[in-house]
Amino acid sequence: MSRKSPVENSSPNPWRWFHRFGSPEYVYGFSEKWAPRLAILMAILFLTGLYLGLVVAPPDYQMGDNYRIIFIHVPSAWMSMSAYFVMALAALCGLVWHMKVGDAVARACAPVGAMFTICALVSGSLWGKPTWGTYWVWDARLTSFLVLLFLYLGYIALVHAFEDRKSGTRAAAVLAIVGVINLPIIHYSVEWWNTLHQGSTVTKLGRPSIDIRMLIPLLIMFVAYNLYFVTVIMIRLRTEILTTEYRTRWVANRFGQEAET
Amino acid sequence: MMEFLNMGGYAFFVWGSYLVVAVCMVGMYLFSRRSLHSAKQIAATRTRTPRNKVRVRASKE
Repeated sequence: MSRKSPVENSSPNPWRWFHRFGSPEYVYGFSEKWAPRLAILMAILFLTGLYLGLVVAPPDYQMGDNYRIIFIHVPSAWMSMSAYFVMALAALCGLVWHMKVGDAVARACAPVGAMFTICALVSGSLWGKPTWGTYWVWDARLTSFLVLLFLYLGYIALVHAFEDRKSGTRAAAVLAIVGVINLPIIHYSVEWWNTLHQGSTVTKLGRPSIDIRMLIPLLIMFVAYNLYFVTVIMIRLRTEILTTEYRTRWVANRFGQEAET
Repeated sequence: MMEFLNMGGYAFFVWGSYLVVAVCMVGMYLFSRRSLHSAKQIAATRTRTPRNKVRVRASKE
């Protein structure tokens, strides 16, 4: 039996890497290989970023030491939005092209994104109390961010609302894709409406209005947060793949042998 | 050191937010690892059924 699939027979296909990432088995092996390495890099970056941010960076001339919340608040908020984008994109791949890996990535993203959103909301309200005098206001930025949390929670609830995991994922994917409309609303809320929340300081075109000793730890923390996201997704993705692919040959080969020995 | 812990009088807000974020992120990481571990164990028990064992042996040859 040496039948080869048409893909293997053909001359080098530029889309081969793309097809590989559509295979749950390949993605499982890939994440298994890279998750521990990224975790080490992530830990180093977190320690460096926290040291530079909490010890080395000078206090702010207006907010004193309280501004140090920025090093966790801003990356959390950024990540909760990019995690949503990744989730919606993966859900789209799963919904339109029936990509199993897309479904698995979308399901893996939702709890992590919800966690980032909670982090951003809590650190933001703890920052708001001493600077604005209140833990919470119903302004555009804060409210649209709360909607983001509800979108995540709605996605998780929809996935689990069906007996069959596949139908749940499909229904939830529609919610995830429609909810993308909230991302530009969050981003531009500080410009479109008069909000208490300040505009962005880092991504301002030209030069950012922030001291370099504050900017460097913030950027390090941002990279660390991205690595954290990728690492945790690589772990959760494998769980999702195993729960849907348990009937396949490769899972049987892999875990059947481990169980025998 | 006390000055560092005091955070210029903002200790509650600064350390409070760092604590919440750390608990959330470390908790999510550990929880994800644990659920992967149990998913692996479930996969192993499911593939231990006789029908699958035959399939596994057949594919090795």
